[in-house]
Amino acid sequence: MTADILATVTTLALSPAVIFAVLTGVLLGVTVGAVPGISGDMAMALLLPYVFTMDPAPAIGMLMGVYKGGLFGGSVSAILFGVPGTPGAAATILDGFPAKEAGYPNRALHVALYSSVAGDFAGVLVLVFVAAPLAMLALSFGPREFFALYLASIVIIAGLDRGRIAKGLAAAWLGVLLAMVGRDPFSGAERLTFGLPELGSGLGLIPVLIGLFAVSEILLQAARTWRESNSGKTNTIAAADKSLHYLANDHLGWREFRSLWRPVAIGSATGTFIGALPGAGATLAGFLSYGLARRASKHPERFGTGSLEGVAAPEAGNSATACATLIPLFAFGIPGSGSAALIGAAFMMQGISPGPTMIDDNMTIVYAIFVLLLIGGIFNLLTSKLLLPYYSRIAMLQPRYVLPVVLGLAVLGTYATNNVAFDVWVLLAAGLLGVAMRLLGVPIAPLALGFILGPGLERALRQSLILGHNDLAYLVASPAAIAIYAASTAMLILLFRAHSTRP
Amino acid sequence: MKTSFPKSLVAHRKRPDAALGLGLLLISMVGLLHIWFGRWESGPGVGSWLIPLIAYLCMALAAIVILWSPLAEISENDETEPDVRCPVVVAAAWAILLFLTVLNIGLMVGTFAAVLLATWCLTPRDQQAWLPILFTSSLAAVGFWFIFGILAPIIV
Amino acid sequence: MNRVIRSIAFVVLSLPSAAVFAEFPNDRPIRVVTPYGAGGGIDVAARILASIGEEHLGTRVDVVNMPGAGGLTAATFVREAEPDGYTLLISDYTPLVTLPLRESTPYSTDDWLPLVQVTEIAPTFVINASTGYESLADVLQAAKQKPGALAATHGTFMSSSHLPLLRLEQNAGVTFNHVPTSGGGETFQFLLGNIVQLAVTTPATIIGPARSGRVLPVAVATANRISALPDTPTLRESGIDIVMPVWYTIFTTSEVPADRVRLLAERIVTAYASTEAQILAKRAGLEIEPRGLEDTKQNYLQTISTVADTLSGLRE
Repeated sequence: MTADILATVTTLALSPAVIFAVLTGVLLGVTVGAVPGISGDMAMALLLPYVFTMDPAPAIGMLMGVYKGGLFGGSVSAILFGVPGTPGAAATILDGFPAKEAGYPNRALHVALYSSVAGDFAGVLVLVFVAAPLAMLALSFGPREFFALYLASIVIIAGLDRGRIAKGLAAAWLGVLLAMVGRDPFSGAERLTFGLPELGSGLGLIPVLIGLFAVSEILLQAARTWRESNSGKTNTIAAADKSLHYLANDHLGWREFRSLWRPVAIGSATGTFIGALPGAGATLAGFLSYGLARRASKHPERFGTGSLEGVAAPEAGNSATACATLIPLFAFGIPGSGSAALIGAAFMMQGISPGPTMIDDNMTIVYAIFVLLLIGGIFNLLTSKLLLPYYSRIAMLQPRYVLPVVLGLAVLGTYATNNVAFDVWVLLAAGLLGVAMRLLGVPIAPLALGFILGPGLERALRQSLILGHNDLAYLVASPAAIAIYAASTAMLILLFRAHSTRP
Repeated sequence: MKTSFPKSLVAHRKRPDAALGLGLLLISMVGLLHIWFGRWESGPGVGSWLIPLIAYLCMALAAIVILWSPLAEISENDETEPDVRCPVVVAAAWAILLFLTVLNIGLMVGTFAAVLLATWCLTPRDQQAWLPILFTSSLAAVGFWFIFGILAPIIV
Repeated sequence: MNRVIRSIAFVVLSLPSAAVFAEFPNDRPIRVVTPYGAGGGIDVAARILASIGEEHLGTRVDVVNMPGAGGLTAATFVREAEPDGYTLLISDYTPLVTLPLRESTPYSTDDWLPLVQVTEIAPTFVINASTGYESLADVLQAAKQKPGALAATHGTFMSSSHLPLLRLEQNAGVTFNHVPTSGGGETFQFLLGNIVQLAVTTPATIIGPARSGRVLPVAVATANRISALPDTPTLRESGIDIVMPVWYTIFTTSEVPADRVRLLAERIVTAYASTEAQILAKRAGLEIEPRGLEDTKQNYLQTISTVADTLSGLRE
């Protein structure tokens, strides 16, 4: 980077508007993460219609702030109440909640915070140093290499949850199918529109993403709350003991945290690797880090009873995925997770198309974003440290107040994007589909990713067929494509094995 | 911290995977028939029916695996999970109601009324009190006015 | 009592006619509808007018994005709006010329009255500098020898980047293997990787790489050379008579009264020619050169005839 690029980047990244956006994002993220029922992903989806009106740097800064904040916020609820505020914090409960029961929630919370930040920094560093070279590699890719990449992504995404491969694959291909609705970009013909002119441009990205990730969850929560209220049971968390019992010496010393370097390192490494894979998410990273840290630990028997190592590892793991998940997005244009998909959508709304040329074309903004990611991590550390005592109160917000407001935000926010009423119907349909999927045990992420990758998959396949004059051998006649197929098969096998060692 | 529910409210989980598998199979079959008999254009790169075809085939394959293979998830018969199907539809209907009232009556009025209704329905009978509900509904109305009237205005 | 009522009635009834006699445009805002989503070149051009329009036009100018159906939604909306000059459409030629000529639409090319052409973009033919070809003639010769063997990219089907390629094939009697791409980024990538040998794109997409020598623009499909690529000959100079520029023009419907049309055209031209508009345009990377009623209409009619020729050539 030349000196004046560095100067432009710094002024851009450190401008007050941008800093404010990141700070707001982090605060929002931790708050949202702490309240069970709303997750960081949901908040990001809901913010999309507004972020659109901002410039790219503060927009992405805010979204990433929300995401990172959310990853830590979920742990607050996990440790204090045994309920993960975000799915990524699920593994933190294993030792976090027992730690609180044993009387040292404060130490556990601080361990969680510092490990989160450490994992986060690891993720940013890997992103910064790996994304650009990978993008350069991807620049030499042609349609058949991209087809291999997209196909491999879809299969890996679906195959990750070992017990639900078939369901995952069905969801992924259903997502691809949904992406086919509308006009075929190659021939201009209308497909699968069933005579509805509103479907002529296809299903909107925003209504589908918000519907699947946010609305489905909210509808389920609302339904459960209603059942609970009718059966006379009170909200479990609010009824929980409002006073937190601290042991007299419940403070985290620097020495003690330093002794946790090994689980933090394991978590960071695992999280970065898992995060970079398409389809793998914070939850998997958390559990995998936990399992690996336990195996490498000198006191594995303490895991499950409140061991701080058991809090550090999953926290570092799930936070490392935050930036790592952006790697395939920046390098190939492939979002590896729901959150990356949301960031990708935000980029597209700003007129930046994620893909191998993105870094080259938008160097200033991309590097400014790297700086912002670091700043976001620092803000997370500072604000969360200050506000930890208050976050526990937030977790006690009653769902019956929160849920209608969030659902209203989803509906009106979606409408605000294009002022087209049809978008709202798509939103609700996607929400109901999401509910059905959750109830039937079908994973949601593959569908979202199939929907996003569908157009690219089709384009790559048909371009390859055009260039190869309909010769199927053309598709695999490239060393890079073969390498991708081989690598993804190997990865699938590895992940299969790793699953069997999960607790 | 799980609560238990009377049997009448518990979803009857009789082999839900069978329903899922059959449903998927049905969709794939209908889709494949549509490709066979429907008006599809061929064009550059074989045609617009190529990926839909692949998608339907993969879904059919997955459906068969779900119906017959032990690889499919064994449904956790969670006795404590309430039957949420009906309330989910009601909640979705509420969202439609909110949208239509905001569009036809007004942003603040619509929000206030809808949030009031929802919060009241979700409050357990023994905890119903008007003041907090009225307060939060007004707060929501003002908040939405700020977000959707000033920050990112919607056409009403 | 009767007299009081009658005089009040007289005052009240004369109010609407008072409004009619007020200057056009009065307090109602002027809406400029865009057929594509926010963020593209057309949207930016519209927003520039919106930010400086009030002082030149006398009333607020609002941008309304109505993406959908390849521009059909927006065009239909403006077509069906009151022909009072308050609803304008800013668009390229795909929804207004290509679409009605290919499919049945609720409007025809006669229904539109072009007001001001805001900018003109040249479809640029580009090759990879390291493949040994040095001019368009080289590429065409190679294509003649091996029909369908050389690959060329373009944007969306039948878009303003596809039609010039088709016209070139008709004119020069060659066939390329057409590879549709998702846009400038992918086009550029395939060109560099020598996956395709020819690309049709916009100057803005390749100006950087052209300067660094990685790609070579070999022709532009405009009447004259463009300032951004001064060394690139026009197709006409290379012996191929094709002029198919992409314009962004502000339209209204043909039933709007002539005096309002003239007023709007004059003031919009002044607005776009102003220094603030030029500064905003530069910042957004857009070159804005407003043209008045007559020139704009000429370009519109010429585009209609060129596109019609191209399409009928395809049907043979």
